[in-house]
Amino acid sequence: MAIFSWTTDKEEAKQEQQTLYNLLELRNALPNLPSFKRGIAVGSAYEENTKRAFATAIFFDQNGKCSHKIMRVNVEVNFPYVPGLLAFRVGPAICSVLDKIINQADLLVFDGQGIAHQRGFGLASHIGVLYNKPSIGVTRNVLYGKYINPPKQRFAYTDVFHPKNKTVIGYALSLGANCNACYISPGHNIDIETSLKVICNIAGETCFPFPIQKAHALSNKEAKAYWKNKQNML
Amino acid sequence: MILTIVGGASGVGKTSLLKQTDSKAKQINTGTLFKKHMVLNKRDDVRKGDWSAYEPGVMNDLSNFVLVSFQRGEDVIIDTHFAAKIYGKNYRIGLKEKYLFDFGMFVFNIIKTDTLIQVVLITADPHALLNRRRLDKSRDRELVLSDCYNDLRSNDVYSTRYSREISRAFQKFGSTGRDNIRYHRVENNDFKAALINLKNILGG
Repeated sequence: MAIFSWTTDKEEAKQEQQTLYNLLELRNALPNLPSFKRGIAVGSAYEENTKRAFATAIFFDQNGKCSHKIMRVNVEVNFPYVPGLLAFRVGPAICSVLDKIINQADLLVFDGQGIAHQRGFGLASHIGVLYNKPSIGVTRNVLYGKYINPPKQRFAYTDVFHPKNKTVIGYALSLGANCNACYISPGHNIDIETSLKVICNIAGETCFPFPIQKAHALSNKEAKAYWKNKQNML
Repeated sequence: MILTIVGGASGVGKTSLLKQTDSKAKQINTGTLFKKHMVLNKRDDVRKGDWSAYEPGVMNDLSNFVLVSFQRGEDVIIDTHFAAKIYGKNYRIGLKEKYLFDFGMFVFNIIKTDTLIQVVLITADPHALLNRRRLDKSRDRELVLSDCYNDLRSNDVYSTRYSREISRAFQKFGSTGRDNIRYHRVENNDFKAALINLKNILGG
């Protein structure tokens, strides 16, 4: 049973984000960060036809090496696609998988936004605040914020600015010459510079930080397979 | 004579702490009074309905309880919420200001002087509160972090109104209210530490 309740009302969801924003901390909660013992990369997907959310969690160490143990969960969620409210669409599945393993890790990374979000409270912030764990969001696109593309070389980065108050809310990071930038923003209990350091440390050789890429790909694969199975059964 | 009003968010540990204090003061729970007046089976159903219509009856019971206890020379502890939901949605003060003011006048009328009124807010970190709610299977409370946050915050805000209204009532009688009313805040993130703190407060 998931420990958190989720609203299916858009307005209530926005209000909840605004309330939980008050609990958001952008200070390093762990003294040794960017070093940590064990992190969890969480990938998520939503299958529209079956109205199911899928989440995959993979453990990784501070060098980005993933363990073989992979946890997957899918749950029925009826929440429409609304930019900025992803947490309410995939959150129930994510929490379902994290509930069982959250105490085994000290850092969470997500394929979703952290504070680079219109209400400063993306998926990584939301789940980070719920569990009160350091969390980082990494995405392929910017939802909120202005930036200049970084040079296409490994670990080159530029700042992502808040469009209104011009503060730095994340980074656009290049992971190689042939890679499009990925976008990093702190979720909760971690500062902005440390978020960048952690992601550079776990990135691996792929264009997108490997543990998150793997978790995300597995969720997508699972979502597609689920729908295919359903179709075959009909 | 000491009258202590202990309040805080639902599940923050008010009743658990009070049980462990071994205080000899007579205790009364406003939630139980509302449940009785509203003829409900569960105390947690109170905040799901409109309990405001039952406030005069509850205030009456409270006043009688205080009167009888004080006449016997016993201290009183009122276990309550400083803020509570109506229809499970919007927060409002646990007891309307005018009732608190009247209650203050009533208490002052009984005891005239030498009474200490203590308003004690039990609070906690929202995550600690959520955890407590999760572990307490005997109750039916909202397991939403934002709800815990709102519950704690509104109790925090309204607790000061409790002491303000009672103080205002005392001032009517020429008392400054300052000497008779004390406001305390107990953080219940660590049960043992909170218990020691509360015991010290209840000791007067």
